[in-house]
Amino acid sequence: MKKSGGIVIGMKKKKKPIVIAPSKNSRPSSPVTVVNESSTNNTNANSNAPKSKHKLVIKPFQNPPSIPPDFYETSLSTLQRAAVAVLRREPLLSTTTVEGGRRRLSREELYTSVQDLIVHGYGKELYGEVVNIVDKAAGEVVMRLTGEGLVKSDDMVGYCPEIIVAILGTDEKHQGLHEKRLELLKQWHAVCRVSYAEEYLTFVRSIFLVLDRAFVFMSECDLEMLNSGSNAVVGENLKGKVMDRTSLFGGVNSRVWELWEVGIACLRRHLTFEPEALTTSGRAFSVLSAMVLVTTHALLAEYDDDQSINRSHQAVASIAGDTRPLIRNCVQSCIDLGSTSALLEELIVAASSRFRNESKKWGSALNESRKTAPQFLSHVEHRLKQSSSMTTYYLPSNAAASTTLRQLANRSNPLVGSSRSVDEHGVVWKSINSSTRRILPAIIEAELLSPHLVPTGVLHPKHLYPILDDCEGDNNNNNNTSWKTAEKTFENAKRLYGLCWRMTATFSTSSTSSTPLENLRIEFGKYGRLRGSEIITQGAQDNASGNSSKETEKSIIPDLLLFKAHLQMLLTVAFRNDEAFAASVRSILEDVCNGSTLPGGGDGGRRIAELLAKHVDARFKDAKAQASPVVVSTLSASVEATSVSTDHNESFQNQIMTIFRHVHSKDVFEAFYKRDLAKRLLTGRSVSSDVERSFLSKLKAECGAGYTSKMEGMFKDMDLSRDIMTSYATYSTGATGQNVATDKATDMDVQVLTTNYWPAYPKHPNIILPPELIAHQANFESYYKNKYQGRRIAWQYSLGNCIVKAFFPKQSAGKELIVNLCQTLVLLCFQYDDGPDGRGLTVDDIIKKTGIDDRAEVERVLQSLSLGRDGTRVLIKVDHDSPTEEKDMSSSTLVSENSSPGKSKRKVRRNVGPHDRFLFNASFTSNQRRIRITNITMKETAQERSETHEAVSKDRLYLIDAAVVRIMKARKTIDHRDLMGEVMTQLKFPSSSADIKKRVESLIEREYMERVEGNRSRYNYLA
Amino acid sequence: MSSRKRKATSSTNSKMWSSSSSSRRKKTGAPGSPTNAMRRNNKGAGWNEDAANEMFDELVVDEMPDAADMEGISKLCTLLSLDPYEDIRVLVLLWKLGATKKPAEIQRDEFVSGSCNMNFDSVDKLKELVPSLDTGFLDMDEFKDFYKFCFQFNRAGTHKTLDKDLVIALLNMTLSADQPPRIPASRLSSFCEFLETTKDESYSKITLDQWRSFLDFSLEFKEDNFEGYDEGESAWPVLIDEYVEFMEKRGKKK
Repeated sequence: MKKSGGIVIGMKKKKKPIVIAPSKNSRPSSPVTVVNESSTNNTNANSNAPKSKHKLVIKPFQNPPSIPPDFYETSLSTLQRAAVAVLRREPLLSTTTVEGGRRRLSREELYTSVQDLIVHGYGKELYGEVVNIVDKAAGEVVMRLTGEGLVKSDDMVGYCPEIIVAILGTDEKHQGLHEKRLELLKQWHAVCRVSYAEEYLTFVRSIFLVLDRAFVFMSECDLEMLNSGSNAVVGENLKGKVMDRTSLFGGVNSRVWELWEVGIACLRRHLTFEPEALTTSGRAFSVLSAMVLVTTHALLAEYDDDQSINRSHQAVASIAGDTRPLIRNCVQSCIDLGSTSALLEELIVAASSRFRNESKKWGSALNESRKTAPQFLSHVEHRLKQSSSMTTYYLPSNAAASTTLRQLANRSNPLVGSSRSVDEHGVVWKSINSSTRRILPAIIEAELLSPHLVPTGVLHPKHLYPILDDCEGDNNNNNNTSWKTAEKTFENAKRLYGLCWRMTATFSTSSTSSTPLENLRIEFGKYGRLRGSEIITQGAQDNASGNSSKETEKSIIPDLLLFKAHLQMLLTVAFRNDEAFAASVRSILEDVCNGSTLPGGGDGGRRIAELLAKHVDARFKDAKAQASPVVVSTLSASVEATSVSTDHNESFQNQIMTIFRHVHSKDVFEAFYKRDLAKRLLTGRSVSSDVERSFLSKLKAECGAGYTSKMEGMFKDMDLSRDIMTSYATYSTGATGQNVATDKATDMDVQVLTTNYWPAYPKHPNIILPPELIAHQANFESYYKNKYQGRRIAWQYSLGNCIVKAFFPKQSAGKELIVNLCQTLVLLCFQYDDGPDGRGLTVDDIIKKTGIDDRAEVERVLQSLSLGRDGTRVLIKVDHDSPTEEKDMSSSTLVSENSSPGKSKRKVRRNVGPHDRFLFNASFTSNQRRIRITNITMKETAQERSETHEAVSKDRLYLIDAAVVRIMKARKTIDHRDLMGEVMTQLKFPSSSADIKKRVESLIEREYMERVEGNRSRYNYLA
Repeated sequence: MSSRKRKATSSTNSKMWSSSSSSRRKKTGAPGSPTNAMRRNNKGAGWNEDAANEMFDELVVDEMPDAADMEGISKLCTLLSLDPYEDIRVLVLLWKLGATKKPAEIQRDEFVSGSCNMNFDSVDKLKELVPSLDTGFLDMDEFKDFYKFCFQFNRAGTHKTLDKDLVIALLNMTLSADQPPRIPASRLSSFCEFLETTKDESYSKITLDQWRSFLDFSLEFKEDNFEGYDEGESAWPVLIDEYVEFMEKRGKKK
């Protein structure tokens, strides 16, 4: 081990004691560890050891080292001066002078002196002093504020309430208000944030960093001691808000603040002075509350700027002159200064009143039709978009803000200056839901939107129906068919639904009023029923006026289909397939189809069922008519055409089924459809049996096999007839038959119909057939009876169709007339002559000759043959009182009369009188070879129609009877009410309790049941 | 109390007559045969069956010896000096005699056993009974039965219904005879007015159910405001429903 002057701690045996620090040298300032005792120990232990030459003696300090007595004061004053200098933006200079002026103080020196002070235990005092320094600085900085309305007294600053309130107004009257607000904000920003917080406080904190850290650290180690110490100083000097804030964090004095916090608290204290105003109005606003107010209104003023939505909030900083960073900073300042709750409160109040006014403006504008509902809706949507981007940009959404908001909400007293009732208040809070992001949207919903989402507001038919109709442009077009326009976007309806939908959450708990969504649904229901009944009644009204009812009736079903598609579109596009709305679409259609919307409760869908059946019939017939010319052209084209029409048919049928599903009077549909189907099948005018069958299968799926069994039977009959006819053909041509009598010139086709499946047709029991037909008839009868034992054939003459070959003198070739059997028989009367002495035949003559008993039928036949459209008049009618009748029998004159109406000669009457005479039209010409002469069926249809309805009604009576008896049989005795209920459930068609009661009465009369003696509302079954 | 008992016996009797009359009629010739009736009726003392039969013989014509039609009844009325078409007591008498088998006729067996019940075998004895035939003496159950009888008796042959006009006349006869009337006079007149004015063809004939229901209804709803009447729930015939509707419409007009 080498000897050196270094310091060695510890020792080794046989080594000389080491003396650290020479004894002579006694530097008072250096702290020395004295280790002389160990050396003495060593000496004692090694007394026999050779003595060293140098003996190090270590002695304690005679005077313990100490700092200069004025060390604290000088350091402190230097620091104070430095702080003030920074605040005033002066150079930092030392007190000592060197040549050329005072030396600049470096921040490092200041930092070390703080360090020294702490080392020497001045921490507590220093902390107190620093608090004082900062407090004074805050006071000073606040005094720098200048401007209109500023009130200063001593060290207090405040604002005249009048000025501030004036500034808070909206910009409509005073253009410069927003600029004034911004000016104030700029000033505050410069004073409080830039010069105080950013410059001064940053300086103070960095200089006193050691204090900040060491002292805070210490204080947390040794709370007890500190409580009595430095905080007492702070407490003395800092009154008001600083102490308040301390108490905010639980127990008093539980913690020493960081200097930054202290600085902010001091500023806050100075900003919250509310100096007695020099004005008459009493107290002035404190700077802080003025700041909060102005900031809030500056923020809200952004709503006035319609361009703002176009600018992205993320990229704002780059745009020069954009005020939003400033506002944002001010918001942040308010929050930093602990005014979050005041800020939010003011925001809520101001925004509420703002949007309440806006709402009122829109309300009157809507009422006076200055603005339309779609405009309003898009405005609201715009506002909501604005709000959400504004909230993200301006407002903090952290936990602290939420807590403040919750505290605000929990406060029982209503907001200061708020005129809202407690109820509305609650609603707003509820929907804000302690999230700052929800504040503005919630207020817009509550104040701007929800007052209008009521049946008297936007949901009023005046506003709502155009939206739902979704017709472009022209809103004054109150034409009830306006919803038929082709282009539909449902933008407005979609928007309306969206806005109503977002309100649902707000209203979900308040049971007092129905939600906007519900209101919308109810109004939508009314709308649908109105439009629906307009469709239904369009024919009915014309019915009353008479003439063109047929045409309008025809359009009911297509309109209904369109209407249904319209509702469906609304549902899927605008209402997001909402379950509740889907249900109301269904109920609308049900009501419309069953006429429940009509005054008087409608007819339970009888009319719609009838029209629907007719519509299907027309379609299935029409398709045939359209398809037939196609077949003539090339094969490929016709194939294509049919495949297209198949698809088309499929969708058509599906559409029909959707309506059919809603119609209650399915029995009426069945009756009419069956009748028409029979006609189609018998006349061979059905579009195709595939289409017919597929529709039938749809009906079967909908209503069950019982519903369609008869119609299926019809098809079976048709198929069977075909088979029978082929086998009959072989039978009659074969050698076996008694077919000698059959005339080869005539041919016969027979369709065998099962009685039950087909409707009843008029019979002509006494009809006199020509011998040719009788022969055929007998032949077929013998064949059929031979084939099917025990069956009876009843010939339906009224369904027969014939092709009659006719030769007209003026035509070289014969014509083929396609007529029915009755027409044929009438024509055959004229086969050889025009009756006795060529004077023509009267109706009575014809009845006698043909055996057709139905006089009306004969008259119709004659009408069709003589008075139909041109080219079908194969007979000539001569009025019994016609002047030309006696003297001129030549048919040519009569024809010329027909061809030149309006002459002196009278026109032939359209109806057939008993004395009118009919002649063969020898001068008949036509360029067609085949001529179809349809019998006049107009009257018959009307009659048929009422007959069908009657038949259905009668069937219904029996069904009710059957149901009642069934129930009575099972129950023996039953209460009236139960009976009604059970009957209603059993019946498949709409029936009123009066209908059922009548049947019950009838059953009582017929002694199937009786009233229980003494209990009027109970019935017994009588076996 | 006593009237109730009487009602009970009379109703069992009437049932008996209708069911077993034919078998009993064969034995009519033998005297003393109505012992059944005698036994049942202690008032039958001094009643002579032959005298009663003779009395009935006066009423019938030779072609139809066992039944007295309206002509015979008129003859009886003349003997009693009652107006057969206007006087309600004629109907009460017929009801008491139990003329239920056929409408507008009284059978011999009905007359005989009825006379036994009422204890008369001569016109003079019957004349003494006439004042007791007033409808005012009937209690409500008896009256209801009588009311039903009025309908049945006035039917024509096998018809089950009465013409509207006859019903109106009959209603006025049966329901306004008493003082005070069993149902308010205003009800009767308004109902008749309703029947006269209604356009519904089905009400040109009135069924027994409708006839009886009107009395029950009028007893249940005495006031013209029909409080508690529920058309949707009630088992009243539709006729009554429509009457109520008619009255409500009229009330609104006023």
